[in-house]
Amino acid sequence: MPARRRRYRIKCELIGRDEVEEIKQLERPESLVHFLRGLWAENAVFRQMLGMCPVLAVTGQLQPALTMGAATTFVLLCSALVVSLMRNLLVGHLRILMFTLTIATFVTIADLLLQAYLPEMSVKLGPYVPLIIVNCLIIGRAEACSSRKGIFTSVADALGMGLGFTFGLCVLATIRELMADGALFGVAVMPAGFVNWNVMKLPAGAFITLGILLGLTNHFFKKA
Amino acid sequence: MIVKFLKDSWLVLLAALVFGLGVSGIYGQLKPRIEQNAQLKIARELKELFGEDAMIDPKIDPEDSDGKRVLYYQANRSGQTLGYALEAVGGGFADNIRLLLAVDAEFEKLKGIAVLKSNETPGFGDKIKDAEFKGQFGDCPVGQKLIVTKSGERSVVDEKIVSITGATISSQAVVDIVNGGVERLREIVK
Repeated sequence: MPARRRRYRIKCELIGRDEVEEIKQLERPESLVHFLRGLWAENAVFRQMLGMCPVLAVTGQLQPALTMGAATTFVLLCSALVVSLMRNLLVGHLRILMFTLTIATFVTIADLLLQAYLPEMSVKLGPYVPLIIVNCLIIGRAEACSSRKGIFTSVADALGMGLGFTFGLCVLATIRELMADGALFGVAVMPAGFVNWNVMKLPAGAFITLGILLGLTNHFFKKA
Repeated sequence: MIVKFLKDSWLVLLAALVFGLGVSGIYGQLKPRIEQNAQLKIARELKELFGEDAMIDPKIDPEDSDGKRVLYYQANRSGQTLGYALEAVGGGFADNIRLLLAVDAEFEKLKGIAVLKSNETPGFGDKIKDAEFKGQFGDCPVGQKLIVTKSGERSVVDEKIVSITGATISSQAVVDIVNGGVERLREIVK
């Protein structure tokens, strides 16, 4: 048995496994803790249920879901950076206005970039790119993290949350595209004779998939 | 009063100015590319409707002060007019539908239609983009108004357009836009 593993086991026997894990968390750099939290423990889709509008609306196929995830991550990262930089200048009652202003700026930039470099995708996503402005995940992270923490922690938190959100969108999109079109990224993968489930393309399919996934998440990962 | 207002809100005012300048700068940089994308899409669709070797001549609206707004498109091949095309917009089921419709030079038959923008219901209304529905407009007579029917053979070329099951409103909307567009094109060209 490697020495590291042996030390871990002795510590667990002495003070208990939960305490050892807690100490381990505390010993990690703050930015890494924030980054990892966003990926799963505080995943925006499965654990916090934030940003449900794009989760339900653009997960009919993998490609738009991935683009939406990337655009949201871009806005999260940029707004986290800017909000963190001006966190000491924020006045209590005007801070939400500043967050919205910052987020709206980067959403507009993301929308323009999509129109210029991915025009087909921009048409496909329609109004859901400008609607990133009202995604409560972004303003939530600005309020909970970027306006209180330094640049590195804020950016790591935004990256973790963004990747976690993209992961959530992609899981839903994979299931829905497979069921609705028998394809992934537009390439047919299901065997010949597979009957497409049209309902999976519609809002009902999005609600059913999300409901089942949330049920499974709660069943397997809910703390006792 | 003013001092307190400025003391509280100087950051908001400064940020609005800086962000506004930033966004307008980026828009200025990307605008030509965004416009070019839209033109390329129309050019691609026109080539599909009139054939790869067709020369497309956009006719500019003389009343447009910028001299950019296209009134209609004329397609030519070796000096001969192949037909005309027009961008037409109308209300769909969920949002406006933007179509490109093309007719032959004699205004006898439709060359076909292309969907430039639509947000119809996935799985139902968005089938207006499929060749199965769109293809019905190819070679349709334009002497009389097109009508929507619920059943029939899609391969038969006549003024009857078979609607999409579960998307009657979207089908009717496309037919109305085409009927209106053909009338408008006839008025402009003649």
